[in-house]
Amino acid sequence: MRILALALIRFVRGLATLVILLFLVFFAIRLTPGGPAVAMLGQRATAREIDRLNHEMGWDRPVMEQFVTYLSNVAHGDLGVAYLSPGRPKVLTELSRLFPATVELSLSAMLLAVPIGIGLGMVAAAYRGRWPDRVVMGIASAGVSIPIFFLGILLLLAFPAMPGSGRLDVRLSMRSIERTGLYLIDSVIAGRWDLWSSASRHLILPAVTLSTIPMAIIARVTRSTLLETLQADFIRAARAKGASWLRVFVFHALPVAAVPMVSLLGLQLATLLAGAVLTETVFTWPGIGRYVTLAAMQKDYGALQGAVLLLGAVFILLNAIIDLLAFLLDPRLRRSGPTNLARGRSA
Amino acid sequence: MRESIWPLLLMMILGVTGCAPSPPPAHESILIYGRGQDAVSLDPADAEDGESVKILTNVFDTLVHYDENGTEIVPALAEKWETSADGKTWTFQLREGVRFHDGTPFDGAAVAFTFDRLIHPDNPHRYGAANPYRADYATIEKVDVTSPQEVVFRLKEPSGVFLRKLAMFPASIVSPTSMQKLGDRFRTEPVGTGAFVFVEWLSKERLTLAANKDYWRGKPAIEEVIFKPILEPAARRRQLLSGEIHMADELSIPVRKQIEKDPTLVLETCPGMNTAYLAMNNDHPPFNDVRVRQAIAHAIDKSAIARSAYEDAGMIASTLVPKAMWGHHPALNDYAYDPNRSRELLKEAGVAPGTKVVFYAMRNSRPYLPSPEQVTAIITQELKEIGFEPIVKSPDWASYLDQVGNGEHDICLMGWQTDNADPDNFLFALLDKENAIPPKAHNLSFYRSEEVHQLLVEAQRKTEQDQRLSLYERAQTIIHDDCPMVPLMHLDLAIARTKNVAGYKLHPTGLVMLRSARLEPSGSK
Amino acid sequence: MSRLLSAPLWAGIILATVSFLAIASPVLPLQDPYVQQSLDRLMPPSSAHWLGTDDLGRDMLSRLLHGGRYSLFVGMVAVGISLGIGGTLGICGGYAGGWIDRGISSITEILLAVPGILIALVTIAVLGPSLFNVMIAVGLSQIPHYARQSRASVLSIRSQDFVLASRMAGSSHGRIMLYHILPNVAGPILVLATMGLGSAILESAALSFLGLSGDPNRPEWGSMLHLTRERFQDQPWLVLVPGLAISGSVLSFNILGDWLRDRLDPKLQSRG
Repeated sequence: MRILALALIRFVRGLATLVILLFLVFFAIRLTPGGPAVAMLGQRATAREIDRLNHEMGWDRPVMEQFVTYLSNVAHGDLGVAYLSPGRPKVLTELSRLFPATVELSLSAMLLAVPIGIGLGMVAAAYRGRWPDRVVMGIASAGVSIPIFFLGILLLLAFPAMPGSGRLDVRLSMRSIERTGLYLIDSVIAGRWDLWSSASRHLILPAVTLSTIPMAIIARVTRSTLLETLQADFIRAARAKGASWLRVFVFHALPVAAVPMVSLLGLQLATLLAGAVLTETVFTWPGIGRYVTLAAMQKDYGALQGAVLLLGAVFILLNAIIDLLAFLLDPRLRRSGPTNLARGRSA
Repeated sequence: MRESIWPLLLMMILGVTGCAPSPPPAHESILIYGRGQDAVSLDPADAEDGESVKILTNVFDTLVHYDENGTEIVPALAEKWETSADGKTWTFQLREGVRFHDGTPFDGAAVAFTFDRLIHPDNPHRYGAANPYRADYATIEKVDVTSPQEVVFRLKEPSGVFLRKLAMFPASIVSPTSMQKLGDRFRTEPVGTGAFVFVEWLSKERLTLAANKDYWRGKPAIEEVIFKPILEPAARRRQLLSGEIHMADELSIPVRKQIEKDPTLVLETCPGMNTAYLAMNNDHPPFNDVRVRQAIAHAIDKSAIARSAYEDAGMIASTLVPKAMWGHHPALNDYAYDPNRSRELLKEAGVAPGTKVVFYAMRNSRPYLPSPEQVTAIITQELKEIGFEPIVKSPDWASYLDQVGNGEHDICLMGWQTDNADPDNFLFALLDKENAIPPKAHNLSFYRSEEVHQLLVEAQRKTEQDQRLSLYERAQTIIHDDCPMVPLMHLDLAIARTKNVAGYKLHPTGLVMLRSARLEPSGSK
Repeated sequence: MSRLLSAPLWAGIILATVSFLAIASPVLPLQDPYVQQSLDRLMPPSSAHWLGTDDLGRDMLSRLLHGGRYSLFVGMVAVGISLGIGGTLGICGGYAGGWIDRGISSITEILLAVPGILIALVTIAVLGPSLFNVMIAVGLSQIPHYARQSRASVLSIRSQDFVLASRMAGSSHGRIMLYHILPNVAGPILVLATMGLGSAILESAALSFLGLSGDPNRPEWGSMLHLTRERFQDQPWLVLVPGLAISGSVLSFNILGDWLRDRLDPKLQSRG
């Protein structure tokens, strides 16, 4: 029962947070000069055409009125139109096309980061204070210090034969077999290995780039959690009973350390999903991160609002799930540290 | 532990990066064209951006068009035409037997339908078209259909530019049947009479056109063309090299140079009909003083801009009208780079050192200004050298247009790419007093010479090119002396292609016409 | 002996050197970082230009060192903004409790619901691109982290015996704040600020890399990368010089932050 109540509270608070967030963005972006009408009509338009367009679109109405209209449209599942996007598509269509790209990139990055990060952390903990530990910690420090855009440029130069943009070879199309929007999965389902190969080649460099931050953070947290656990009484007891070091490590320390790891991983994933702005920019990956950057820069009202809504919702939802999971697994966790560590930097 | 982890790690890293590249499938009749952005709208009355125009040019035809190598007006959907003595009535004989891609015949009614949409804001078939070019066609009073193969344009006043405006993309003839059937979906599913038939458009993903087998000029050499937006110029070069795409445009200067050096690729260039310039706001002191404006003209080292920011992929501009276009005044004595002269002029004009100058400089590259940030850096430094203190402002493009159109700048970078290869399109649009009215002024110098205005209006109404030329030369001389702006550069057009693309020629207007392009067998690479 | 050569020491040395060179750059015998020699553009490193010249013919060594002033300064101001606003909010909320705390926590939560870079991007979209606005954007985007951290620190101290005792003894809020709370939260906040400096430099470099820091004349590391990224293949030094400078400084701040945390936070010391 308590968990239900907790979930309900989180839901209501999340919703309120979203509305306030949306209002802030909605209001702020309209404070500035320019706006979509000027951008739509371009360098050659006359003032009269701009006024006409603003009027037709309702962009000359009071902000509060526009906001209420927008909210009621959103409530009816209409996120409006991205006026500066090619073909002026519906924002919802755009988001549902771009979000899978971000999901695929984030999941792949996590798939790289989790095993390698945990592995490195384990090595470091096992050799605490000795050279493998130092090497790992060095890698971990470097992982959060090298600018992602710099790393991306270096990788592109180091692998000149690898594709540097997009999700698929230009000549190929996923269109006929698209189901989940995750190319690696869709191509396997359809048994199209040519598509799978092309998609994975396009995915590797961005995924490696994006994985560095979570990998470094996971390695650090794994190491410190393991070290802390290894000092716990029951481990000492197991050691005293003559259990081998490896046995204690794998069967006793790891499972305990796994509990805080869950929330760490969840938060990392949430951060990546919320838009790998820089990675997507360097590799021109057609995902939400790039979309929201362009929308903010061009002041494409509809696109920006829609993207903020989606990103905010995903972030809040994932955070809520993590909290509930943590609560289920171990109530003590509510006051502990990984959440702070886990907030890295922009990816 | 040590033994097990490292090999595993290595294997993982090698395992993923070592995937074999997929061999390019041989689609030798499909041309893939890589470009910087996607199109925005495929309704001729709605489009504004260059990327949309690339599609429109291939899907639609206009009544008249430019010849293949230059900007002479030649017949297209109109076979011939004549003008009344007062220059206000134009009668066009239309080509027979032309059909739209939807199978309906092209006729006078389609012409009237197209232009009615273009000039009347309350046209019922506008379907949300933004119509950025309406002002260009405001001179049309009405279009009468006198027979299925004859239309008569009645103008409010005689115009020497009118015919050229008919060659511009907003005047592309649309299929009335499809337009009424599709409504605002026409914007994403255009139907015209052009060399290519629209197939499909996945926003930001790909836009596919197929050859129009019944095209009245003859069937295109390629079966299909795919326009693929690839944002970064460097990425486009990468994909040219891997053979993923066949052609690429909107190349940055460093990428142009890399392609030029590459033996497997070809970079085609030709002089462009565009001008980048520095506008000085004549309404803002001290730029109301001609000496101060001339001081700035003397302070800018155009050869340094040509060398550092254009890497010689362009020509130094001495007047607003591009060198590659008729109407260019060839004999103007440009202001020489001479900072000492600038300082003297400023002293005479009483401008104190340390005077602040609000300098608007865009940060997005434009068809006339490929490296705006480099040009900005050069000009700021040169302004500092003659004692100004520039304050650089670089908002996003929409805000930029809004603010400079409102006259908020002291000086600003701007430029123009021709629509119709007519000097009027530069001089009247950018320097006439009628266009110096904020907000959304186009004359960003806010230059209001009555003398120039008289010349430009007279030139608009003349239909003889020789008479117009001498009027435009006189206007350019006055403008040169008044120095309301500093013309900077004309950027060369450039397109990169793989070696097996043949038959494509750059058109000096920058229009991309793919009808004659073909793909040689890749053995001939 | 090996302790002397440890990573934090190196980090300290690097940072001290970078800061010294950056601060002293105007008086060092360097070429003017703004002067353009268009005839000497894109020169590889040589005895005349130790780190070569850029696309406008400016001396890269000089731009690197002058750039340090901008990049480090931007980071510090941004951290100052986050720390000033976020720290104050967190401490007040944590100490006061009740509706004040709930209010502040709600704001923090809203801001935490968006990725920092998104806050920064929207801020720049609204204020316009300039280096000053980059500082504000980065500062604003980090506020919630500082607020959350300082609140947590205050909460853990507020309920401790010596604070309660002092309260019982009739000390004023101001006195407790000054003598008990602040000294005890100073440590964790210092750690946070040191680490935060690294990420603030990184974040502002990222915004500059996206071309949002205004005046392209200014030798700021991120915008140097932005302007020359396409030239990496032919003129690698143009990209390596600012890229390594950013990486090195941020790495140093992170290592130093780790070391400080181990030193100052007794709870964490056991983690080694």
